[in-house]
Amino acid sequence: MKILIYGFGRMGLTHFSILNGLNPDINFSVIEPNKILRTLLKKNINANFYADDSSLDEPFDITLITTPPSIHIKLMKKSLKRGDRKIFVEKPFGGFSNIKLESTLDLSAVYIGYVLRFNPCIQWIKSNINPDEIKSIHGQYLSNTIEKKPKGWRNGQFSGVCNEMGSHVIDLIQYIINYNELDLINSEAQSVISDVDDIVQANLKTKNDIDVSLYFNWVNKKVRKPVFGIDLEMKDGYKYCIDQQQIIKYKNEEFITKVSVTDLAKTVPYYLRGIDFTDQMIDLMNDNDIMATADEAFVVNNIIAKILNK
Amino acid sequence: MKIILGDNQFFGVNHFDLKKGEETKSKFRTNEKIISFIDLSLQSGLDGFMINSNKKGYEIISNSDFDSSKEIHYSIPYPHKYASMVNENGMMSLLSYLIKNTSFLKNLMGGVKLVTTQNLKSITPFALNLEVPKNLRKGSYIYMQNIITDMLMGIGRGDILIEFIKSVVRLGYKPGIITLNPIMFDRLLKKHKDADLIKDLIVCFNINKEGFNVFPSLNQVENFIQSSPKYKLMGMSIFASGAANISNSINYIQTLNLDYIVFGSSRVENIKSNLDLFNRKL
Repeated sequence: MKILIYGFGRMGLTHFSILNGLNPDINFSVIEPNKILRTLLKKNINANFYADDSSLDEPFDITLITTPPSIHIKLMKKSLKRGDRKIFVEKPFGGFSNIKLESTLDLSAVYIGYVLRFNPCIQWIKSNINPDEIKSIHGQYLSNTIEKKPKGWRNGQFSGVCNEMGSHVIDLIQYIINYNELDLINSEAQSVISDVDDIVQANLKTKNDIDVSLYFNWVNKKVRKPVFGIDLEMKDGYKYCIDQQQIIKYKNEEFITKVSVTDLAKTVPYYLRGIDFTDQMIDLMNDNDIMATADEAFVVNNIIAKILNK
Repeated sequence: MKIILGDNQFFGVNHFDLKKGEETKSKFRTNEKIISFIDLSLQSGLDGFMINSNKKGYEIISNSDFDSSKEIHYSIPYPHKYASMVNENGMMSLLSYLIKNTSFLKNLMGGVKLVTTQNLKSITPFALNLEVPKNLRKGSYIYMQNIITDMLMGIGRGDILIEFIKSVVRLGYKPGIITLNPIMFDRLLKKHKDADLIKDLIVCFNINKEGFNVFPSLNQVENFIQSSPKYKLMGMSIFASGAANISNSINYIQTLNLDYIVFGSSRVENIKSNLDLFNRKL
């Protein structure tokens, strides 16, 4: 199998490690424009490293685009032109300004890295909850990702908590409710450390009357590890509170039952950073059943653009 | 089987319940509270304690004396610090941080080696110099954290882990490896026949009756333990991060051929009662 990776930052390295850990026979090519990093990587990692893709004409089985979002679309178009069989683009797929592409492009082989879909608790919800019975849904994401003002693109319009963290939650919401037409009611964004949005809250409503509320904060010093949460209120009065580790069911605030990740104990052949990341790469190499499509990613971008009033 | 106090409770780590983790962290706001908890746990009969090289862990080891008959298991690095660095300033910031923050002599020696060989293996002494306090008692264990161990194995650079083990031994400490892929690490070690390398080595990995976060599978890890590797084995997450029945978990762990187990709790009473259960069943 031939795999190409554009960009060898934190996500490029993570996906490379997982894919190589799952199948050491993969032939990797990596585009890394930073000369010092590329020189060092060439000496240390078993892959073909290039400054750019000008010499790569043959199609790849899988291409991963893990660069800053501003160049996602350019690289995706190049990969489509080369005839690459599957293209994986890290979220948020070109940033919020990318809400529509030329209709001539066939995006059926393009998948977006919304990794939280692979969380066992989310998969439990997907299999056990009827989306037509949902009355309201609240999504939040808390982390302490930004402790100092970031440099480069992470302090620009393609970054911010809504693009980088909130996009995950928005994708989860459309994945769970199985519905993608949402109207914005109100929103508020604050810059605390970076020059872009660090704290965001918003209220939306779907065309089929589900209330959606969002809260994202990536400068929360009380949080050691990123944590997402989804609360579902059902038409029959039941409530489900979901996070990375458990699903708790209530009726009128009274505890009914709990399903924890230990009940859902899953195994993966190679573990790094979470079962979700490994499962995402396994899905990419196989049937792409869970992975977000390009169309679903456009919906997320559209919502972000509305929230940030862009 | 030696029993070691874990450190998750001090730093808000709870893989089963994040909110509980945060509540527990607030109980250990100061270094003094952590030190007092460690002392009380050791007095209860634990064989030692584990602590990470984050800011608090580093300060505690730098400035405190613990009962010299007890073992110190020190793990490096603190991954969150480096993840934030990469998030904020990119991958290259990691390298420049290492160079800026290590001693001039180590920089000079390691730097020359890194420039001439361009092999990331040369970073190992930098990392140890940066993360290990001078006051860490010789003979203590120094572990590589699982996020780094597993990433290095994934990228095919297990040789850096072997270099880490050698460097730790050269400094007068005993080596430890934390991994969530113990069988993969075992395959790596089998390529290295050096008996001295594994004489004191401890490999620490998840094992619990529920199979929670046990990779690649509970059955395979049980078989691996049964195969009695020549190095020491330490079980962690033995109570499935708090989700399991304590007594059943201890019964299960006792059936395995482990040299060490590590567990934590935010209450000394729980440490004592778990220890009693272990001792009763031994």
